[in-house]
Amino acid sequence: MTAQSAPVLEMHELRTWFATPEGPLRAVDGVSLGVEPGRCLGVVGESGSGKTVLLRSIVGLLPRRAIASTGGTVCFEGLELAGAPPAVIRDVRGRRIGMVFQDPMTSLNPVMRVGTQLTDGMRHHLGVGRQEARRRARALLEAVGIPDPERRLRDYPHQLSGGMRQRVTIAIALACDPSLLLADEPTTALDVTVQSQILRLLGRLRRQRNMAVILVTHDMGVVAGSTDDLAVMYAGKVVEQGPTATVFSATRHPYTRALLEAIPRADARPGERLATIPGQPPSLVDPPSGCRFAPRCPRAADRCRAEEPPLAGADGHRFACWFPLGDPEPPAAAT
Amino acid sequence: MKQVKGRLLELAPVLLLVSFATFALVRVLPGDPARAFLGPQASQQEVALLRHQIGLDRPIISAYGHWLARAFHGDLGQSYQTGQSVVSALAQRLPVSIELMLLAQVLGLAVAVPVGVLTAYRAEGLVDRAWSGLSFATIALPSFVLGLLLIIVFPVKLNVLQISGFTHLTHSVGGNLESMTLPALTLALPQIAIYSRVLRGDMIATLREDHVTMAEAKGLPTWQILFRYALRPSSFSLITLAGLNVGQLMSGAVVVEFLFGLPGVGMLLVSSIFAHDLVMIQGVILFTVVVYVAINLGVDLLYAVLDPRTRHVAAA
Ligand SMILES: Nc1ncnc2c1ncn2[C@@H]1O[C@H](COP(=O)(O)OP(=O)(O)OP(=O)(O)O)[C@@H](O)[C@H]1O
Ligand SMILES: [Mg+2]
Repeated sequence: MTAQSAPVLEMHELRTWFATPEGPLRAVDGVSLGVEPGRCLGVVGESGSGKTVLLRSIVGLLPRRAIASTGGTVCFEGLELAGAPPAVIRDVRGRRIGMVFQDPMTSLNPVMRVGTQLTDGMRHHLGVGRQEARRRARALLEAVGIPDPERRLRDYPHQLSGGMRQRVTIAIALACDPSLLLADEPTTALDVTVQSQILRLLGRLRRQRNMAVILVTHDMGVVAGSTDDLAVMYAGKVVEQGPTATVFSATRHPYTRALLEAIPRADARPGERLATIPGQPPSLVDPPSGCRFAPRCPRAADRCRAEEPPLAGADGHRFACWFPLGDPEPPAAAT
Repeated sequence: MKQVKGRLLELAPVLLLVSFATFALVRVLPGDPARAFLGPQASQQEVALLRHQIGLDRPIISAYGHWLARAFHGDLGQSYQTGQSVVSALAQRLPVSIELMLLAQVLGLAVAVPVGVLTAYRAEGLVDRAWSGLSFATIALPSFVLGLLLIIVFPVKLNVLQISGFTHLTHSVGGNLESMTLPALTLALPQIAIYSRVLRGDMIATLREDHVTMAEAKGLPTWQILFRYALRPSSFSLITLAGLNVGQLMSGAVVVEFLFGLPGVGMLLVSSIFAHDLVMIQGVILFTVVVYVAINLGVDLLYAVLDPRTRHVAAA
């Protein structure tokens, strides 16, 4: 990994616990990650591992009433977002951090024209006039590969295909030229040919604008093709992170390997979720002591069940495992 | 446009049936309406003459056909109490009723929309809980009790908004509004309660939708998210209800006009029923039914304006 410019975003020990009748649910439990300009950080993990909550915690987009406690820091371009007043975060949202959601069929307002939804943000944040906003909106739709933008601006969402809608939501996210884009499974709801088009589009826009991207996905195939760095999440924690190529070629955490082995084969149904790893993710209300993956880990030893492994490593490749792959098998696994 | 025509064709049989029922209803009432109107002192001859004038001596179908044909030409007959034509009596009374219902509806929506939005935004909060209790109370009260309560509170106790009879709008706007405020409020209070609860429910559901999160992700101010992004997709039940409630308003208006002595259509109906004024009763009911049906048609069409999805489907 070569020397890079300062990170756009750096979170440290970020924590989001929800209030549930059973007690605090540790959806995100001490995550430290960063992303540099022009780079794409992939976040993968099984369903429920906390990916969406992580993204939303960055910009404070979680139901306030549901939250039991939060912690950690989120430093975005020198600004502290964690615990910042709502007005400060609202000013960052949409202007300096754009977001794209999973399902383009539901993430656009059904009763507002595409043009209005696209220009609202610019008009609010940048104070541009109607005409200028219109002009920029046309340019944005062109940039995301929508033909006949003039007509599309007057359309309602239901008049567009799924792929087209996701292009529109990307255009909306980019409207104020943000330096960071948070994309939560932006292709999961799309069919497979459209998926790769959207991923290529995101890659192109990122390079053109030197924008940092955090791409949340279930799909290791997507990770391999579109990310520079990778963070693997398990039960609210990062268990392995590093440059994508390194994590793929020198996988250290057994959970990462399980995910890699679960990549859908070419004959799998498009959009298929990761094939299952034996066992269930642990309860986030009452997580196992020690390593949270231990109950499902083929290599788990007594130490794994007793002591929590720290996220450590060298050269930007870090992993949280007492007996990482590539090291000798732990004694307990032999018995 | 095609939609409008289709709906009208659907409505024609409904109107026909209802008008016949109205016509027949008065006929099947026990006793002779002509005798009832003229009173026991009238001679047999006088009764026979009146029966002939209003077609009571003909078979019902033929009389109905005759009545309907004239109604189509805008002639609903004449009151045999006052000799005034039904149409001119309606024309005289209608503005009062329309004003009353319009004021009630506008007042109802003007209060219910912000309250509904607010209570949804802060659902289960203090304001929401208090409002929920309060609205339950207003819904539970019949309109004449509510009206009497308002009379006790405002003119009697607080000595404001005296009910000194009705002032016509053309006479004095201020005086007119003063005489209309309490009646409109009586009609509006239960509407406010129901409207705001319905809007609150839909709004809570909308606020959970992805597109609202997306709007929040755009960093728009809260009022924009609530009133520009979330209100419109949440307002379909409210609009249906406001439309359906016109019927409720119309029947409420009869009570309220009577209670506050407003010379509206409701009052006209009540007084012609007291006077056994058959022609007037039939005319007023027919008119009311047509208006009611027309308003429901209007509400249907309003959907198309509000929801581009139904507009599109209809056009396809
Ligand atoms: N508002 C909330 N209140 C309580 N618990 C929540 C809330 N939102 C999320 N959670 C819990 O937080 C955990 C993490 O959820 P999250 O949506 O981040 O998972 P994810 O990794 O995005 O999963 P998926 O791949 O299915 O999208 C889950 O256990 C979920 O049930
Ligand atoms: Mg998710």
